[in-house]
Amino acid sequence: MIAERRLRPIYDLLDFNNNKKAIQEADRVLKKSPELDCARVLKSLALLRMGRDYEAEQLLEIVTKRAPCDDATLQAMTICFRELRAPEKICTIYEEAVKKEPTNEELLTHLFMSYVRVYNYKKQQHTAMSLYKLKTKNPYYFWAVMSIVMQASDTDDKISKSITLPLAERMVKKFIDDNKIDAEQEIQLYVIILEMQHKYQEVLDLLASPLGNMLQSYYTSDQKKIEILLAMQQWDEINLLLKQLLITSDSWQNYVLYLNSVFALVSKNGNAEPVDLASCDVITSVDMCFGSAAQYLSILAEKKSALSHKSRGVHLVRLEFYVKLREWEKENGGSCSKDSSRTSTPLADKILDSSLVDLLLSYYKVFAATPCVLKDLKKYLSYLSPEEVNVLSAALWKINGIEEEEEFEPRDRTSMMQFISCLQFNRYLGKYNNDVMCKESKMALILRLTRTYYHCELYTADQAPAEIKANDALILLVVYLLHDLYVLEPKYIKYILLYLHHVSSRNHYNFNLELLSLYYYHRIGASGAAHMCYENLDMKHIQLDSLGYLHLGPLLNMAQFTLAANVADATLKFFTINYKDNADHLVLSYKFGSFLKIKEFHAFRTRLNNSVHYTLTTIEKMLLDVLHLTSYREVLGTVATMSINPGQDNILWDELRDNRDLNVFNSCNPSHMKPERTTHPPPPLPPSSNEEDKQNGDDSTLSSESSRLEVLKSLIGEMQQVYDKMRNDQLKPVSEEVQGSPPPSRLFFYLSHSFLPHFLSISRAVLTLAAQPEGSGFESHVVESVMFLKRDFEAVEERFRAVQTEGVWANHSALIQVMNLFVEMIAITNIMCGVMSAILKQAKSWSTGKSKEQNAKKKKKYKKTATTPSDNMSADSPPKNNSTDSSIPVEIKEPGPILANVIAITKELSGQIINITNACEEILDEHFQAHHNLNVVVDDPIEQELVTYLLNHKEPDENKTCEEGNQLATKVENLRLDENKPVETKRVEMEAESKQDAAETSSTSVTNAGDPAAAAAPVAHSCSHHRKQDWITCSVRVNENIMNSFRVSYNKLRLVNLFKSFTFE
Amino acid sequence: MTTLRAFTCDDMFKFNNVNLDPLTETYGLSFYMQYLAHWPEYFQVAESPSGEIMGYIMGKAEGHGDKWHGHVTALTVAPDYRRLGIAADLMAWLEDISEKKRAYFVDLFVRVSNTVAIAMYLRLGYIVYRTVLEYYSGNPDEDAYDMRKALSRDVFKTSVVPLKQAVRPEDVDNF
Repeated sequence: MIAERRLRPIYDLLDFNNNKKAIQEADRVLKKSPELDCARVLKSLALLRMGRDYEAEQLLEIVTKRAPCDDATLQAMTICFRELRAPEKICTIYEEAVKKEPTNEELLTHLFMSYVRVYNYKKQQHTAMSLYKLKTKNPYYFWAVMSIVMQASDTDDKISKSITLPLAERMVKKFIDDNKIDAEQEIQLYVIILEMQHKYQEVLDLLASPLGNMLQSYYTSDQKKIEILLAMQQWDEINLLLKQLLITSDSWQNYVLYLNSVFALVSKNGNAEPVDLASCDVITSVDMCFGSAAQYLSILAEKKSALSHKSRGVHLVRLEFYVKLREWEKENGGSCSKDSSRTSTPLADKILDSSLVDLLLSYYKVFAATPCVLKDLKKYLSYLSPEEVNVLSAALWKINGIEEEEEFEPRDRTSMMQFISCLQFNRYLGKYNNDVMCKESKMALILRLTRTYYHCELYTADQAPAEIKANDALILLVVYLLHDLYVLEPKYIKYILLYLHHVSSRNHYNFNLELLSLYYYHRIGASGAAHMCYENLDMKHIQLDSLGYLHLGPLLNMAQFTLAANVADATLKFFTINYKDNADHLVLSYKFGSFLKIKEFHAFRTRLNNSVHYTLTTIEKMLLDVLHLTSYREVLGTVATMSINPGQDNILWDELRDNRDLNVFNSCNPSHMKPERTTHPPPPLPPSSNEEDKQNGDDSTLSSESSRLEVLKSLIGEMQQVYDKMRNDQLKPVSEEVQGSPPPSRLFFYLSHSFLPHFLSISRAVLTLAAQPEGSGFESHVVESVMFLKRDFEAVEERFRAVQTEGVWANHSALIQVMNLFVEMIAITNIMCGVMSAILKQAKSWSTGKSKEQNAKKKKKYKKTATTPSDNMSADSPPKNNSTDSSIPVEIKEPGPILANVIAITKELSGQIINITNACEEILDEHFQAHHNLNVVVDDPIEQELVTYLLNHKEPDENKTCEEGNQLATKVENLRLDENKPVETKRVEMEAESKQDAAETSSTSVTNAGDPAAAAAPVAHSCSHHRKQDWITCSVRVNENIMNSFRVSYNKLRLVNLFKSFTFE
Repeated sequence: MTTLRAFTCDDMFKFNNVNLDPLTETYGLSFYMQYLAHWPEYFQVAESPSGEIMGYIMGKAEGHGDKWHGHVTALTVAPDYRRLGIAADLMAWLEDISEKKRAYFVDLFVRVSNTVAIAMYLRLGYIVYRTVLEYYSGNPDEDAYDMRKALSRDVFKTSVVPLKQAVRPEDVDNF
């Protein structure tokens, strides 16, 4: 009690994260009562939290030796060891404590849980049994049983399974016989054991017994019965059971199983054709033919039509039945359609007395006004022939009572919803594909949909503010159509972003819009702007894994280093925390008897831990850390903390899991435009992207120099092979057409330039030099690598010229990406030079007769060597004019000057990169001035149509004068385009006009003598002023977003180029 | 057509179409896992025929004596699947489990501004039992309605006699 009073202040300080004070307080307490180990442990915890792991561990070791038994100390130690990720030490302390107090139930329980944390099933079992012997409580007994089950599921060994599982079974059986079962979970566990042994009949018997009635929460006895019958292929019984269940439920899974049972029965009994149905009751007798199943389903539909909510299942099951019949007929050679190919009615049509199109239409008619109608039917649409697609499309328009080409103004919410779903079907069926619909008609449709969108605001006014507005779906369709145009002409991406911005500024609750903005901002290269969307979407926790692929890669590609590092840190934190916490959930599962979840949790932990994104983020973060350092010493220090073992590949390539959610862009695009998970075979050889890190692992466990060289050699060999293979495979990024596809990897830029050959050459230079420090063989590799580096710089320059001649966003994006890789290569080159000069220096010191240096002293030596190359540099005039550069004078036989030359070249190139970034920012400013609002002059009539519309389109309730005004304005606008005024003057005019617009709050007449457009302007203004202003504001905002993103990218590239001052000091 | 089934860990990789909705919170893994470990039967998901998550419910059973009750921690339906009765199906499941566990009532908290949800709960037979002041933190904080529905074990429906006085969040369990 006294102890507790003394400790309280320390706990409080720890709670408030006041670690320094906590340590002081602990020291104070320990002075008074040195025997109070708990204070010592709490001090370690504070030390741990301050990053002083070593001191903490020392203290913990002292306490461990004393084998404490009091709960407070042990709990505190548990927390410390968790933080230290040393769960095995938790076992040790409880083992020792239990030795002292073998009959302490609480200690034993903790010991059991400590084994759970380390997945030691055998010891779990023994501890649980000791507990049970101590206190005959059911949970302890079943902990032991579950521990045995885990031993069995952990092994593939049949023999051990044949011992463990029967043991577990006998243990439960004994309890059943003794009438000792008292919880549902215990029966669930028994079912697990029987199922693992495929003892299905035993499960059925159990379900039928009174104990079976205990199963009613996690799954019901009926559900389990179906599962078991399925495993036993007892189709008769499944069929009957499901027929009963479906009367009261609308479970889709049960419908599917029911159909499966029908097909299994027919295949078994060979009765495809209808038998006499009059003689039996279809509900209570087993289906022997398709006809009876069809009849059963119609009876079911009738019964359910009275329900308040329309059941989708009972309608949809007819379609499912239809396509299953079709496939069955195909597989079974179509017994009835053998005679003629097309003329005879297919079996499916016969049985269901309907065609596929009619079935689709009848479903559509019932659910046309629900947003999920297309999603429900997608699967079945793929069975339509091209002619049927046309029939269906035409019928859909007809149901909606409109002509495809005409203006549509829904009269109420329902007709709006129907109209939307009709459009979505047509989109999905490919009616708007680029090869079917010309640009002109597409633009006309876009404008019509925009008008309808505004018109429909009427019907969404009553929606709760937090709800997604139903008419937003129209804008999504516009975006899909604009995406098609964007695939043809990249400039349309601007309008996509404009639309998205416009609509999401009116409604913050539609995450689809935000998600698309994120996607398209990244596509255009505006990763900073994309990051705003990312924040709005508030992606966190597991979403960092499932959706992180949309964001982190592009941030890195676009040199948004700070944001990338933040996102990577948050991501890595999520994964490490999970790894630490996961065991706690297992502990909970035992505690609450949720045996069903234990295997699941185990698998989940593995899935997260083997996440591709996790692996990728880990490596990217390491590269980021290394490449941003400014001296060779820092590099050595940083790499040393990374615990890299170059000889050993820590990535379990075969176990990696792709956890990406590729369905998050939920669109009505045709299936070829949806992202798909292609299962690429794992790479033949694990690509090692960070060799430069690896070989620097000063503290590496590799003992001898020669084995380190072997490792380096094999890594270079592997890299070369991977590079060759990837070039041969001619990997291609996913087509632009696929909306929502994962952002292209920077691998493609690597492969299309000389970055990797450069990297390989300079790595070979290191290898050669390290193998033969006295020789001069490495020079040719160095020369080669510099040649590649130059070639890459030419690529940068080429991109830069593209930006200069045509300042479109896409050129900036490409330039930034290439420059980013180039800067990365410069950093790597510098690091490699550091390595080589270290090797040279070492060789020199050897030759001067010094004894072999120890590893620990090596670092010091680098400091000394540092002066050597820079001395040489000043002596040897570095090639100032490197464009004509004959670069490395090969005649120089001294290795030092060669390296100095390389450094000089990288400095020179870095300087040029900085110049380019400066020039690009100026170009950006100009570009922005010229294009910052919608009033740009465009020479494309289709694009012009859109711009004109956005600036002049009519209000839903506008009067006729207004319309005329608009038309007039449009005409004038077109007229102006035809004039061949110099571009500059026009820009100024437009500027002036838009500024005026911005200043205006009410419509004032703008009369500007001599300008015909100005005369028309007020008329147009009077009705569409507000929206026009909105579009203009959005346009400026989007442009600003993009430009600022590029600015940051250029700025970051400039900063990271401080690497030019990279020293060996 | 609600196929209800137990929510599993793997569902978390694909619940984005539900959770990106601004009013649906994505919690840390521990929160979900704790529910899965403790009340696995109270965490159900409604799956569409194409395997998409249409919505889910997360709940628990707690309380002593005649306060033993089922609680709805989270209920959410993806925007595309609203107005189809899925929330009602999920609620029916939770009530059913609570009945089996011999609970006296089911309760839940809802933002007073969430009129759509409140209307639905009223339709399902819930009443506003009391107001909890500033239950939801934010700018500004928002009150919650504590809504309840009596189960068959509460024969005299004593659990659903509304309280006149609002409570503070810290006093929720004391009354």
